[in-house]
Amino acid sequence: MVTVYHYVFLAAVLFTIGAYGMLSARNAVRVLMSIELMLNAANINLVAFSSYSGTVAGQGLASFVIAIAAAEAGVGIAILLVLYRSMRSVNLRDAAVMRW
Amino acid sequence: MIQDAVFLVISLCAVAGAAGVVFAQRLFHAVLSLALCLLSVAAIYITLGAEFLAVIQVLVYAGGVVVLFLFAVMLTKSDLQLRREPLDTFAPVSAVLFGVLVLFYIARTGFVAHGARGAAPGDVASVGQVIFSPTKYALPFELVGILLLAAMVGAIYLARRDEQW
Amino acid sequence: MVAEYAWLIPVFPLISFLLILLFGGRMREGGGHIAVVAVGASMLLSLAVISSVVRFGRYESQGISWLGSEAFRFGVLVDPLSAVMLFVVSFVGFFIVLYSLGYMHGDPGVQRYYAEISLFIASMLSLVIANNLVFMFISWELVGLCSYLLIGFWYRKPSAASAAKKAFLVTRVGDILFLAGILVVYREFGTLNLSELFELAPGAAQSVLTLASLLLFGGAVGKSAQFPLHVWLPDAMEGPTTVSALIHAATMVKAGVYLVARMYPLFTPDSLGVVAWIGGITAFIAASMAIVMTDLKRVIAYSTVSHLGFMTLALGVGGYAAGIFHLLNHSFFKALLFLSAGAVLHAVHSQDIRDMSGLWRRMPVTGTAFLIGAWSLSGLPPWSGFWSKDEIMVAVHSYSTPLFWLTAATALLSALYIWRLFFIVFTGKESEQAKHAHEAPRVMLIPLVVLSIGALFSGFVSFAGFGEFVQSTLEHVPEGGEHASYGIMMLSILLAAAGTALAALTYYKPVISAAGVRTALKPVHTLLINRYYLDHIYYFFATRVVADTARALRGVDEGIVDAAVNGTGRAAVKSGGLLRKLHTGVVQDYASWVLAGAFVLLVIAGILGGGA
Repeated sequence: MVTVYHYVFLAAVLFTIGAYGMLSARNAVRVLMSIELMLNAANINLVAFSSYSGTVAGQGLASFVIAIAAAEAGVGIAILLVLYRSMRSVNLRDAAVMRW
Repeated sequence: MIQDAVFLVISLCAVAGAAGVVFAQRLFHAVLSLALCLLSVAAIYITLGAEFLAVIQVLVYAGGVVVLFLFAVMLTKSDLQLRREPLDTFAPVSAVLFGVLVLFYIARTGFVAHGARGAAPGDVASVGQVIFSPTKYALPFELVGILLLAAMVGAIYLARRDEQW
Repeated sequence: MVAEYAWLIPVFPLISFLLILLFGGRMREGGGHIAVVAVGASMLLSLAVISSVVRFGRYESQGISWLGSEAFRFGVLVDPLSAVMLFVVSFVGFFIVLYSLGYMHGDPGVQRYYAEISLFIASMLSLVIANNLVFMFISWELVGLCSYLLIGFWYRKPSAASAAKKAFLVTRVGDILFLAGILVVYREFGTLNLSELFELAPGAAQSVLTLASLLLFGGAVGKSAQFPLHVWLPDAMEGPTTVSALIHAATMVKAGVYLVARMYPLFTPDSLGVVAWIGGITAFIAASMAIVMTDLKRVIAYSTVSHLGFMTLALGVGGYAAGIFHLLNHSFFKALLFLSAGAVLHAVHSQDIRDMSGLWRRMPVTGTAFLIGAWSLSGLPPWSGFWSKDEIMVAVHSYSTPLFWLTAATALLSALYIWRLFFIVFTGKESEQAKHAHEAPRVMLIPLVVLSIGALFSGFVSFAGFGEFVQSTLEHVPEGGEHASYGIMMLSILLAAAGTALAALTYYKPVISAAGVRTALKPVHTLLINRYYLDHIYYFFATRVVADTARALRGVDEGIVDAAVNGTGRAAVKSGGLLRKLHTGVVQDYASWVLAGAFVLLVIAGILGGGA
């Protein structure tokens, strides 16, 4: 039988992969995609708990998360485009200017 | 039985897609991997009985966000470089540690929640009840709307070509 | 009655001080005449007050409270003791200020001189009529200040400046002890008013009284140049001779003796023993040093130390009246000696007695004055010195035998050193400098004459009931002082005569060779010339012990305190230098830190939350 723990475990794995990608990627677009992964993992958690408890509120929250994630991706990419215009590259290592 | 198998297959797809996002050499392939992952997640939602949410997921995520990322890849010409830079250790270590911690907490609960899936509805009406009902999440809903508006305006303004407006 | 106006006595010289300070520059002799008039007025008023005390007894005024505190209620107390002191200070002071008009004529600093002298006399007068310990202490300190200013009067001379500093520092040691004594007294009795203290004293514990009186005596040791704080007085001769006469012979140095006499009811047999022995030892060692010194004023200075020792000794053995009697006589003949020495210096322009001899021919008046002073000091009858010294010896004899023999030896030495001085300076062949000498002007001679009369006849007041008069200051008559025994009187005459004879045989008609004695007793001579090496000891203490300790402490201060403070600063800078490395500019590093923080928080939440 599939218990809630299966879903939680899946979400944990997805989250870890997403975190790893966010922290180690050089390309900014890849970073944003990793962030999307993490958000989805959280969503799976939400919906799983909601479903296994017999409520529907988790799904409502999850839809909010989806909306916000989409908005954040949009704004993030807009920023990336501005960065690309001045730097001609979206490599985050090249953008390490404000440092000691 | 069937359920277990189905769940396993879908999970593997999701994980594979996730791995692809992070490890694919060409960024274009990474975006496609992301699409695979997101669709798998939609399938997960269906196994959980959240049909409405699954549709939303496909429409918004797999449909809108993935296309957005494709645009981003193309516009920033990120697909052309294949550079491989050395990995640093701090990032993976911290991510893995975090994951371990999460698993640890999961294990600590003692796996008491044995039950089967509860009878939660997943249709539009039920979700709508939750979202629009003033006693539940009507206010967050409105705020999300405003946030979307702000994000939209901001994104457009940021990405504009010339400085005229 | 007149005593009600006694508070005016110090006020006249105080006004003189202010006037001279403000306007003296525009006046002749720097305003010296004002000083003379002021001190003269004080003298006349003092005489009136004395007669009032003789007729009506002691008087104490209400006083005014300073700073609104009853502990600091300053008023006037005139009794026989303060009457005698008033007389001594104002009378001798008046004639010395008069003498100064001639002696200090032409000195560029005359205005400063008269201002400081006026302030000094004002402080000294207020010291002797003060009825409160703190009032006394304030006057005491002022007196010390004026002494410092006047010793270093010719401040451009390095030796003078350093002598002034030495005087102030050494007496400061005494002053601290005095202050400590005041604190002990206040803690024990809750009052600083003299009359109240004398009433409460008999009821207090012996140990506390001994402690308090010894601390107060410490102040006297400093101010009156007793062993071991006597080292400043010989060097104080750097100041003008009139200053030496007034401050360091007749008045300021007597303040310590006055203090002991004034606070007599607080002294216990134990503390009086200390007083007596210190007095006796001081008298002896000072006299021993006087016989080898070659500076005219220095010999007289050591003589002063020795005689102060006599007074202290007298008080210590219970000869209260004898000590005060000697104080009176000594003021006359010592001031006389200093002023005549001043005249000599004025004429010869040198202070070394080896430059002077045969001065009698050209300075007979001065010579006579010096002769009178020497005769009185040496204790040969029938002049004043004999009577008071005899009384002291009687008192010492009934107290302790070893101390008596020490005092006897000192008496012999006293005669020896003073006659040595007289014979060397005034007799014999005229020296080079002596040929140019001339007698002093009249302004200077008049005081010499007056003081000579005093030095001759002041001794006879004891027949007029002086002793009983002074004794009446005390409620309890101290023990000791068996009546004048003829045996002791004979002995004291014999000692004085022996000393005189020795001096005559060595210096007048050189039967004994001074140089021969010096070589024969070389080690003794060296010890004396080096002042028993006390100055060396003090110098060593100051430079090695004190300075080295200070340097070590500075090392501690810099090494620990400064190191801590600077170290904190350096640590801040270093840690800042390390922390800034965190700002790599790579966004993902920042994200990692966020993740790490979340990790830590989760762990903590897990530990604290338990199983929730």
